[in-house]
Amino acid sequence: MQWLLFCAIITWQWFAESPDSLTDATALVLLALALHPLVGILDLTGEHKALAEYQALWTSGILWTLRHRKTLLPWMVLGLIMSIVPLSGAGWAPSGLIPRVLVGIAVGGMALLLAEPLKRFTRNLPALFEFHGWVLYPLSFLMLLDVRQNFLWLDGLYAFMFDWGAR
Amino acid sequence: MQVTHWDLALLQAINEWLASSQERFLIALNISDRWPWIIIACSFCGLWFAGTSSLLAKHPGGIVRMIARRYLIQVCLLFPMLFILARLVQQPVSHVRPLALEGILDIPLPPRVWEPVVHSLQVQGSFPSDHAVVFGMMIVLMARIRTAFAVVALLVSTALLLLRVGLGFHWPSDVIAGLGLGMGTTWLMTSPRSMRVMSGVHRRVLDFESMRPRIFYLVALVFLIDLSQKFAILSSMMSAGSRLLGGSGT
Repeated sequence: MQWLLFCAIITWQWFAESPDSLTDATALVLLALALHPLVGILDLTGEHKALAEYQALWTSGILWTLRHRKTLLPWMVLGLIMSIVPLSGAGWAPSGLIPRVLVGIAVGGMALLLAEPLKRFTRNLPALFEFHGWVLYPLSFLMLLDVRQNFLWLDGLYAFMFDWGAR
Repeated sequence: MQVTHWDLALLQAINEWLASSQERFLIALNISDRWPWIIIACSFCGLWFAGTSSLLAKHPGGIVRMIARRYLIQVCLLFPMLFILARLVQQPVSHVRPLALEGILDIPLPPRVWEPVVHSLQVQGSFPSDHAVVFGMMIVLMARIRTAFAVVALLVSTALLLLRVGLGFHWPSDVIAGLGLGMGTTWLMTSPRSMRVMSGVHRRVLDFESMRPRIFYLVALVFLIDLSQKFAILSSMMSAGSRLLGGSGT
């Protein structure tokens, strides 16, 4: 459910009136894809991986939004509230919550560093989506589908790339 | 329903090729499970944004976005009805799935992998194949928009449906009947006359998309996500609703 909400927010932002929104939302999805393996490494306890990642994504989203003062903020606050509510049995125990928040802050900080280069990269996206939407929107849908299933395909892709690199 | 000789011969020929390697069989099993629905969801998504937004196509045979969208809206309205129709036909026609019969299929998988697949499919009838119904619908939709798309759709559909036959999920006759049902119904529903009758609905949907894009695409996302998992959310909501109604009645 958390991931479905995240996908919903991205879509909501994607089709907002301002072209900046599409850039921001796409940057956030790209950030999610880029940070995915990093969160796995940074996960301090090795437990509650999905929640740690989720928390990290929301935290980075909030920091990103604060920096750019975009309308994404209310959604991100809602996301933060949802992410600290014990949804998948992790509970309020400090052993579960503290690592998640720590990872969130660490990755969120990194997101701030990445914000400007990403923004430059995604600036031309609205024009690209206008002319090549027939292929870019299905690809984005596949990305959201993978976000929703907690990066199952991305994990497979990374594993394949590591295997291929090792050979 | 009686199994004909050609039904069995074709099924066994495809199964023999598929079962000659365990890896091939496993790949076919994985592909045929979820990928047909993901491909259909992606095709809907791509068609919605295909073509030019002007009133005329850029070149002869090109796509005008508004026309493609009208066909897509028509098919999206038809989709649930076709799905329910296929399920309704499946109820009275008792056609046992090939995988439920012993000794006709070669299964190169251990029972602990194969048995859950058999159990998950036995609750549902075999005739007609609902995958084939949906693929028949897609082929006609593509043909209405652009002939080249229909050829690609036909090739992809044939490959995926042959996999389902080879895995023993369906008899060839289930697939042919499903394709016939899907293509026939969609052909009727996307005829110029039907499109004219439904033009008011199309206009309202398109107006809503241009006036409230955020809400429209949010609903579209949920629809496509649910479509990509064969309407799992919708089915669970319907069964929860019927349980609730049944519970309150007693």
